[in-house]
Amino acid sequence: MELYMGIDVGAINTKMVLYSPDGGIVAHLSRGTTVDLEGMARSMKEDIMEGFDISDLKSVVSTGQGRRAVGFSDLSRTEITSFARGAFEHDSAVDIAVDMGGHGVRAMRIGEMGIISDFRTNDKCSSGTGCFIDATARALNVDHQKAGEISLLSCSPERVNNTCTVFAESEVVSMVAKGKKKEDILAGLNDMVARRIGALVNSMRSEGRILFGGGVANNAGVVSGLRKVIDRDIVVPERPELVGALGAALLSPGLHRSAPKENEKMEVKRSLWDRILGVK
Amino acid sequence: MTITAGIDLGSTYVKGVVMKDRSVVGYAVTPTGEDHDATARGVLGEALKMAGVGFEVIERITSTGYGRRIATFANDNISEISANARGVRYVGRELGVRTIIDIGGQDTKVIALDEDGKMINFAMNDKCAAGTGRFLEVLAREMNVPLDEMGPLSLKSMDPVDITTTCLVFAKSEVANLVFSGYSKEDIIMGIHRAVARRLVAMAKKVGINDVVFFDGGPARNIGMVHAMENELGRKMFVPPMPQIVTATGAALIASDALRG
Repeated sequence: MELYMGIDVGAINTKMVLYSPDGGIVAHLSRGTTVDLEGMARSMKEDIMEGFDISDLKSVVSTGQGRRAVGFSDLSRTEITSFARGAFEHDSAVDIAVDMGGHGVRAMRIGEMGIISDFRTNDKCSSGTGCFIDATARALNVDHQKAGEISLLSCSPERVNNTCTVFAESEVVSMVAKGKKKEDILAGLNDMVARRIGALVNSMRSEGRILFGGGVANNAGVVSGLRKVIDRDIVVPERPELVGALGAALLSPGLHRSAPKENEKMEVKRSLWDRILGVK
Repeated sequence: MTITAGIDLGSTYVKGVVMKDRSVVGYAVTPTGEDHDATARGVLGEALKMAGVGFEVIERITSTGYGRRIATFANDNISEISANARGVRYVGRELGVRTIIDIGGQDTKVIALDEDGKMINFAMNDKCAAGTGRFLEVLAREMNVPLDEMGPLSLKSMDPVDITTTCLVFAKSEVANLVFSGYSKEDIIMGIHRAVARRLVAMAKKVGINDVVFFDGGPARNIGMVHAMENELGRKMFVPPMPQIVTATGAALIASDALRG
């Protein structure tokens, strides 16, 4: 079995995917990103390869903010390129793919053949990113992974006035002191995140389908807020946090040589990406 | 004899000033607590103790700062911009101040004055923590350095690092990475001061910078911050001996202006 590894070193979590042309994603792993990126990536590689033959591993492609720190990778691709590739793999009819990451939001327009024709990013300000949710959930003493479900219980969401993550954190503390309900505060926070991301996406004036990925897409409250803000067909993959890592694995040079022939669409996509990457 | 008081209810500190015939006779500074009104009363009490007078002799109290409406015992309140400009006109009299840069705990103000000291333009950032006192406070904690030691320590820097992120949240992880990568504390701290200075000066340029530049607010006590600002501005600034209480002083003066009619 030929294996291709994609590693997405994000600001908060590092995601690793093992892709096989025969079986799709055969293994995946997520871990909190530590300051020792190189060491963390190595130990993740050791763990994910357990039960697999290391000689089957044909290539490793890294992506994400910390991609350059992965010494054992054969190739590095930007998070935009990788995410677009992963999103296209998931749904080739997607018009705009939105990566809602820990430290940034990136929206890219994907053309018919999987080519990125336009993109917008917010990586200057943490408002509306994963760490906004982390920080405010922490101030509420709520596990950030549960922030979504809890917020859905709210009947009357609070209005969060501060945009800045740091100031919103203090605002949350004072809301708690005033006896506001956790679910109402969380709903207000998730609505704010949805409004910010929605504004970015709406500025791209899409008519088509929109895919939301990245760790924040696991937050059901944000996704339901996005459905309100964006009046379009919205897709969220089952494991939205893995889109970038999968995309990276699929960008492996040489992957097309062993790709199964039966899937014609895949062939078109791959040859296109090979052209972009300059693979003969 | 006229005794007035000014209370500046900031996001991080509450400052109080007691003035007797337009001279500061007492002041106090206390971190902002849960109960703004109670903190403000405590600050006023301390300032009065220093002045050696009782609450009953105060003829008028003006509050200012973002929590100004919470101080129920004040006779009136005024925006921190006006109070600050009034304070500078008093503290910096005869200096010919034309530009004020005031860093607060959660906001930053730049005020342009004309030749007579009248406010002609201002800019304020209270939307983003970058370039505010909070930026310094959070990163000092991240580096495990007491806030008061940031300034002196940063002056030892020989090769300041460049902090590339703007957002405080991102800067926190950037600083953690820099510490991990083995950069010296002083180089990182000077980098932090420069990052704040870059933001402030960019904002000040929009308002227009003219000599003399007056620098106040709590972070103006930080000598490294003053150096970074002067470097970025390319000119000298005037920093008052008590930069934290300029706005409260302005509020006390506005109270006494009101008594004069």
